[in-house]
Amino acid sequence: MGVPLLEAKGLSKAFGGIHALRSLDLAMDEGETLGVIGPNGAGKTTLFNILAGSDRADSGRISLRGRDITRYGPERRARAGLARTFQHGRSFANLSVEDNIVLGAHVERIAARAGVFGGAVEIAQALFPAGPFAREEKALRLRARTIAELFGERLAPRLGDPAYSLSYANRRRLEIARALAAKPAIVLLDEPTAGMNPSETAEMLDFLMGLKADGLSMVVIEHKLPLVMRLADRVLVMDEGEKIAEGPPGAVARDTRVIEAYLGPSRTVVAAAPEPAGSSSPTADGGL
Amino acid sequence: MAALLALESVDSFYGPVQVHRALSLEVGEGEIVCLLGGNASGKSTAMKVILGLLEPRSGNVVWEGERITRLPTYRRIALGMASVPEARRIFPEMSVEENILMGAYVRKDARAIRRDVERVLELFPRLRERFRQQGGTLSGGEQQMLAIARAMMSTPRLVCMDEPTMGLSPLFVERVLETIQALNRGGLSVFMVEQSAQQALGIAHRGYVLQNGRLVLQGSAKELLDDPRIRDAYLGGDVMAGI
Amino acid sequence: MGATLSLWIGQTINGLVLGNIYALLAAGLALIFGVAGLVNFAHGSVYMVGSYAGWIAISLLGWPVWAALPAAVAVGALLGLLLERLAVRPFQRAAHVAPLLATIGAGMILDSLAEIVFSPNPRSFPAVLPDRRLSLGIVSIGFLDLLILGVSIACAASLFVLLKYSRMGRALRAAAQDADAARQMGVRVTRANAAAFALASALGALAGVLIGLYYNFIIPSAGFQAGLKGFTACVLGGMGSVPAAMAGGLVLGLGESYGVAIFGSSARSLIAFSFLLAALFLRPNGIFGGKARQVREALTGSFLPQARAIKVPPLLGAALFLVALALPLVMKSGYVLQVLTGAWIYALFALSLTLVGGTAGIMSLGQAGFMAVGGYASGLLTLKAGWPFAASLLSAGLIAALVGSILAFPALRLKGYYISIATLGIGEIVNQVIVNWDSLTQGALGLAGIPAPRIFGREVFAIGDFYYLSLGVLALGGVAIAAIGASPLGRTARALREDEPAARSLGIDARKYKSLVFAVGAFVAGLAGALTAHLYTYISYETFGSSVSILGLTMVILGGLGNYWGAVLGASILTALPELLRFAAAYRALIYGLILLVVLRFRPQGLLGSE
Repeated sequence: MGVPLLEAKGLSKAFGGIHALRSLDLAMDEGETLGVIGPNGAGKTTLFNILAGSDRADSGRISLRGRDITRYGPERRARAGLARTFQHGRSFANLSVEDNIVLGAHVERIAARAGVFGGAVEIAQALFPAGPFAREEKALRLRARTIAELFGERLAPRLGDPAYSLSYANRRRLEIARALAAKPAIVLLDEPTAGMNPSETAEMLDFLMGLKADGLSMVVIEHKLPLVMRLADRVLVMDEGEKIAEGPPGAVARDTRVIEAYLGPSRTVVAAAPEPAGSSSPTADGGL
Repeated sequence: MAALLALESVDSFYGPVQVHRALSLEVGEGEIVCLLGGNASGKSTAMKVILGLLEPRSGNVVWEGERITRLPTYRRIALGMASVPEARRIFPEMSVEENILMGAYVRKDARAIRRDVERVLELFPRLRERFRQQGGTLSGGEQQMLAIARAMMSTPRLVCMDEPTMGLSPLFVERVLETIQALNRGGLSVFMVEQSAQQALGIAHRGYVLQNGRLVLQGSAKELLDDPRIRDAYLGGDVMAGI
Repeated sequence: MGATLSLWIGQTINGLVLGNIYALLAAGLALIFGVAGLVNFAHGSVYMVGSYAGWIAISLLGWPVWAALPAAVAVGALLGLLLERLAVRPFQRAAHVAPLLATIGAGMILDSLAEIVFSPNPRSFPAVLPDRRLSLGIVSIGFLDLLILGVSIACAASLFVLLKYSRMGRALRAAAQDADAARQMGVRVTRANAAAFALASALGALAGVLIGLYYNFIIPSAGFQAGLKGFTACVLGGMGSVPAAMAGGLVLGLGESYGVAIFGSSARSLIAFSFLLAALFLRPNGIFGGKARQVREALTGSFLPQARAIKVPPLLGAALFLVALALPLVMKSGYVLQVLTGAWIYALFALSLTLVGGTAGIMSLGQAGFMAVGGYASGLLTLKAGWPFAASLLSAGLIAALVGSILAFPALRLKGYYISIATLGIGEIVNQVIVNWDSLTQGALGLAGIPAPRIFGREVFAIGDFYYLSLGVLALGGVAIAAIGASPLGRTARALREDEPAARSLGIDARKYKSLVFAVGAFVAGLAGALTAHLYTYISYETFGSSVSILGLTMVILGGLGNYWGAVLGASILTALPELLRFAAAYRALIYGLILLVVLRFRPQGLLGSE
């Protein structure tokens, strides 16, 4: 078993008087997919931002493969092998599909690894793009194509197109492609199917299952429980900043606490409001 | 019964993303109607469309039979709509008193306004205690009370409430729901977007359930409360297949 | 002992008087920033117009002071409404940078109109107040001082009462705290913005008249400086809060007065802008500002999504270059060659601006400062140290890049408008340092007798030779910048421009890359400055003033932000145009301002499209 891939202990965060996270623990191993679910305002995005490094917890520790990354900003976490996507899909609109994906591999570039001399290396690469620089670019472009082809016909034929010309679903796929470019140790996916219709959702699920089969470790925030049930190995349920349940998806879905968290506690109907004349009969309009 | 407010086959978009698909609903005079749904179902955006903060790409917003789809927000407030926004959105650096007065912004009758401030303080005695305090220092529940009080000050006919119970302790949730019922008994129509289905349906007359921007269920509150398909709509299952 | 004390008390009074005027300026800026969410770069011009309105009332119409003040206030309010309607509202929906540039353009138009109508020379303001002084023990305080103090305190009080107790005041405060929620209360937010502009401009105009009375002279170029002082006061005190900004004004006034007592009057502006940079770097929220406010993301991010640029194929580019090379053989007119040489130098400058502003998305408003550094560096190295031109040219670029990186590095972690205000301050500080460092730069006298460049043993003296030199440097610089733009560095810079948080999540060090691009931009601007110095053989701090920075921006917007050929095109058009039309200098500035506004409104992507 060894060291868990990602481990967080006692994460707490308060904004003003609001406790967004209350001493949350989580752990996951290599090759696992952890689903994070919970109603609005449960603290999922706060947790994500803290795991990704764009926000800092008030207390607690995070480690990646045993390495303490609590103080790392998002840039260092990327170098450490952590990748993330954003809730509404933030691709670089005016850059091409290919450039988007290539940028995902930034941490592997010679210039990015040159530390203090990075600036000089970048200028040198810009003015004299030959030799190792040319080889690097070629390799990155090839990798971009390979990753794009994982999405079949969605992205590969559009490598030269600007990201803004892509459909919403394709832009989300692009963002994931970009996150995969640096061959990260772990990917944090923030609602990867938000805004997608059922067929797009199903396609994305297949894709993510494929990644999982290839051994990718993922943390996924999602609301569509059927998706989480099929994709996640374990599910962590949050409500009001706390973990209220954790376990295999099937067990979690049947947990009454979880159902209550989403739909609210059952309430005795006090003095039922008078019904206006002509109330309608129940209808279930259309399907999904 | 003629509807006070209606949405007719509204398609709305946030940039490239479609939020609503052919959404139609109505609120009758004197009703409490709730709009339910899980995350990203489009509930809050429906509120924006009603209030005029977002213009639909097609479809209509209708008030007492008149199309107000392109009417700017301040005119809708003047017509008799009021808003209790999501997360309260009270003015943090204004006192409780000033927040309440902001609710009466569209009114000019100073004496009547003062009278209504009294009325509202009677309804929410907690606010009288904190009258001069800055809005931002109030607790979540108190802010919710303030937001409702503020909305009442324009003597509206319809109040739009966006998730009024979110982030509140169970005690305050009770209070808020009771207050809404009391106001409704006084003749106020309420359109409420809620995450917590059980709570909302407990006080509403009718409800609609949204999933991915489409209406999947509607009916009287009692019928919806008994319908097991609500759970599916919330938890992303197939309402028809009932996973 | 008594003399020193009375000196200090005297300076304190001076400081308070000046501070009150700064407070009036700062209050207006803070009001607009709070309510409308943008920085009004035309505010200084409003102040200047107010001073002339007061002058007209007092000098031409013979009105007494107590009538002239309200008149100026009214003029200011009207001007504010006009500004909001024409230079702000049309751009509120447009992306980020547009309102900023629009108010800059509006300011340019106002400044040049004043120059055209009133002449650019200082005009004396009649001393209409009794010269009495009140004796308070060891010091005396003038009638004018009391008037200014009285008026500004009255204004502050009225503003306070208005904001706190009136319906409109509540609406303004509500809109400032939460525009969306205010809308849902029935507030017409566009009207609130207009009211904020009117109020702010009324105060600004009043400040203008008071300064006219205080110093007994007014001048159209005072607007720019006043605007900067206003920003400084705002940033010092706290941008989002009117009382904090006013307090900042007082601090600035006092600081300037004490500083001047210690360092001499020529150091006044240097002190002020050092305060600005210190505040930005150390306490961006201001001394009195509270927790960090919701900073509107204004100046990073793409100007325009969905822009398709018109590409100039390399063959065409080469052909154009050959045409330019051949031109002196065909056209013997020294005048035409001179104009074109100027165009090439401006094109180099514009390239630097479009790289920083377009590719990296950082609106540098003081870029001419780096031209100044380069010009002085090369001028001094050749003149005083006898360096060969090639070495001094290169050094000019390097020194400018160094200065640029050092000054900009702390600023690049700031958000939104603050970066641009910082670049404005940096540009001004460079100029002030040049003026004050007499021993090195000969201060206000300027640097004369800069030797002609010597290249390959040949002295570049004739205009034809200079034409080729500039064209050559432009070509090299252009190719280098284009190479950078097309390189992974350019790609990374664009990613930061598009979405900085997303870029950072990929491991891209934002500050490092922004500094790098900024340094390259400063380098190129330095080269342009060096060429200018050797072309004109005389430079002073006025050669590279703020008008040059803004002209550069106009060229870049005209050509297309981020578009390198566009920068060259924009520079060529705006250099050649005034020559063709033979307009006087003031009319040129007016036309530039109008072009800027028109392009922003009707073709924001510029002629060749932004990249």
